[in-house]
Amino acid sequence: MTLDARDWAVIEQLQDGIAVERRPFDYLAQCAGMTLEEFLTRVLRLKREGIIRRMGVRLRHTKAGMAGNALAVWRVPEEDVERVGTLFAAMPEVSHCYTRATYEGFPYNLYTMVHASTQAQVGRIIRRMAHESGISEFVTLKTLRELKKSTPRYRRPHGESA
Amino acid sequence: MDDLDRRILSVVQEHFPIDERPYLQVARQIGSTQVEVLDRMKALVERGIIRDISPVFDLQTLGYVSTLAALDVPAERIDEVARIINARDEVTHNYLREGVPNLWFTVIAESEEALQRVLKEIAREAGCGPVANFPAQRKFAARVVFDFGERDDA
Repeated sequence: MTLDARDWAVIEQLQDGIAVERRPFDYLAQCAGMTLEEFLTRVLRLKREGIIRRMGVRLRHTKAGMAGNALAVWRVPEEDVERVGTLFAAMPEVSHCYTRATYEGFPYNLYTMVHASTQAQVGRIIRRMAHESGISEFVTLKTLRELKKSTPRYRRPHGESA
Repeated sequence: MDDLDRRILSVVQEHFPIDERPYLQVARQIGSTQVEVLDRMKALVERGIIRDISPVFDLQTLGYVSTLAALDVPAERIDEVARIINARDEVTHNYLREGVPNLWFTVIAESEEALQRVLKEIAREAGCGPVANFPAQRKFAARVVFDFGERDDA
């Protein structure tokens, strides 16, 4: 799907955030210079086309009762990547499961972000992942401090004005 | 958080209604009232449990590239180097983790060249060796994990 200037106007307004009030989209539509009907139609289309991956709120994990989290990285043989990636991705405690390029001195190729209510619970889940996958070469990189967490801000490409 | 808070979050976390009156729709779905949903949502924002009400976009479709990068920083320089990294708008997340390397951050940019430039500039300013770059290859899962409906796994 190609995005036109009016789609970008919608995207820009949504990135400013949706207010907690009865009719929050009225103001965003007005700022985007269109009717509420057009605004909502465009949002629905962005969602349907997958440009909006998730329409929802973002939580602070630690304040929402999920105090434990860790990045677990796994060294998975190429022929096992499909099986192990699918297995880990199906676990409700795993939010992200990506293969990534390796780096000198860091041979792990499958990355999983694991969340639970406590750090001890995270450790148990990772041990279960190792057991169920049969992958014994892994490292748990426990989160010690969140130093930055911001919502990305996307801007329309140069030359496309409203 | 009580049961009503959890029921509200279980809806608005993944399926915020795209509707003239989204909070009324939420209320209908969970058998509550619009006034109650608005009050609870305001409180969840004030308490810092809700960080942001805005969609998650597919950055590739919007013409962006991203990566996960890491730098190994001596303990006594963590705050200083974190300031250098966090000052960049292109850096969206930055975590101190156990192990080596210890500082892990995500970067978004409008092109691969711009992304490489950011990594190089950070490496130069930080002076802790090269930044390790771990671009994603295949994504098996990217989603939220809070199943407020039934989970209580203390």
